[in-house]
Amino acid sequence: MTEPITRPSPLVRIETALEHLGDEHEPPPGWEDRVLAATAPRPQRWRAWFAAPVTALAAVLGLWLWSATRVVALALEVTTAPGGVVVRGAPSHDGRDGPRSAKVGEHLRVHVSGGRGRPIVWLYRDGSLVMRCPGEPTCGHADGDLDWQVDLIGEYEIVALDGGGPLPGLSGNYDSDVTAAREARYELRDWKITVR
Amino acid sequence: MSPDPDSDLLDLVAKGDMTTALRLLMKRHGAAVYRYCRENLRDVNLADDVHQQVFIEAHRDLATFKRRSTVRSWIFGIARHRVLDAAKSRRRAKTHIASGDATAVADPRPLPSELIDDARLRQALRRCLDALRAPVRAALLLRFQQGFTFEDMATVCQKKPGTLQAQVKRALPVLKTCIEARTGGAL
Repeated sequence: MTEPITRPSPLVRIETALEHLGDEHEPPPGWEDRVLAATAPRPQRWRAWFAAPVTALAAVLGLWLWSATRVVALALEVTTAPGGVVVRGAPSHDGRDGPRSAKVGEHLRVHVSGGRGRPIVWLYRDGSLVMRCPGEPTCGHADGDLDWQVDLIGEYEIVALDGGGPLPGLSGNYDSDVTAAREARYELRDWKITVR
Repeated sequence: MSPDPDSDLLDLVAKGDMTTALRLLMKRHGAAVYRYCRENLRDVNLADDVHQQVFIEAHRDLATFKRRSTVRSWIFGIARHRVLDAAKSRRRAKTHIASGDATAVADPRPLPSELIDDARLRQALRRCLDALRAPVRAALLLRFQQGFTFEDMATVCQKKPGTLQAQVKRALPVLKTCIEARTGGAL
């Protein structure tokens, strides 16, 4: 006697059919490549648009910072001008870079430029301090400007200084003051002029 | 929770090798996700697009995958969302089309005493699945076509396992009635 053929229940048939639904379907050829292409990092145009002005701005800022922080070399300029007294004779200038001699009654005009912006001027006669700027009423309006009418003959030393650190107190003696300033790492320019 | 069979893939992600991780993801789950999309949407072109979109989205989000589920559940979660979105868009686009379209053409019917064969069963099953609501269709495919447990389905569908189980249980007799009505045969 043969065994009766057992049929699966209708719901089991549906479940089985569901399990195999779409077995014959495969993803389309090349789909993986298309996904990889879509996810590949691509150059972002906004970066280029953004980078150009930022780079330009950075360059301008860098240039400004460079020029703002750049220390221009300290320069000392000395000129002489006639005073109220009529001076006769040869001109007192004897050098191409500036006067090395002047006469009593003439004005010594000093202008310091460059440095870090707050120059100091010392004026010595025969090694002794006679004038300092800033700090005296006769100093010019601008730092580093000095107009001094020489009233005594002698050997004059004009010293321009520039530096950031504390400056030791002045002794009033040219040699010791200049040495102290150099030790304090001040930059110095000096000019000698003879007043007759 | 048992270890994720795709933990090697996640190691690649941790190392930042996203392209190799994506390749592995596509190799392991590409075909299954495609079958799911294809049978759910029953539109070759739309299924192709959605299928690719799923993996593009997966690539985007892989780095932030939190390992709260398996990679398989996660990728099917993405697929389910994209399929539902696509089905919704298509439904909106087709609202003006009359319901009596070509898919309603009756199959050649066997005699009432005759059992319908597997090929005819699958054909009718597809049409009856189309008649179900999209979330129910998704639940049936995830359960039977993809073999997910109700617990895994809960992760994919963000519903309770009991709710999904009841949904599937109610849908099967509906399918049976629909198939028998369409084929005129016995199951």
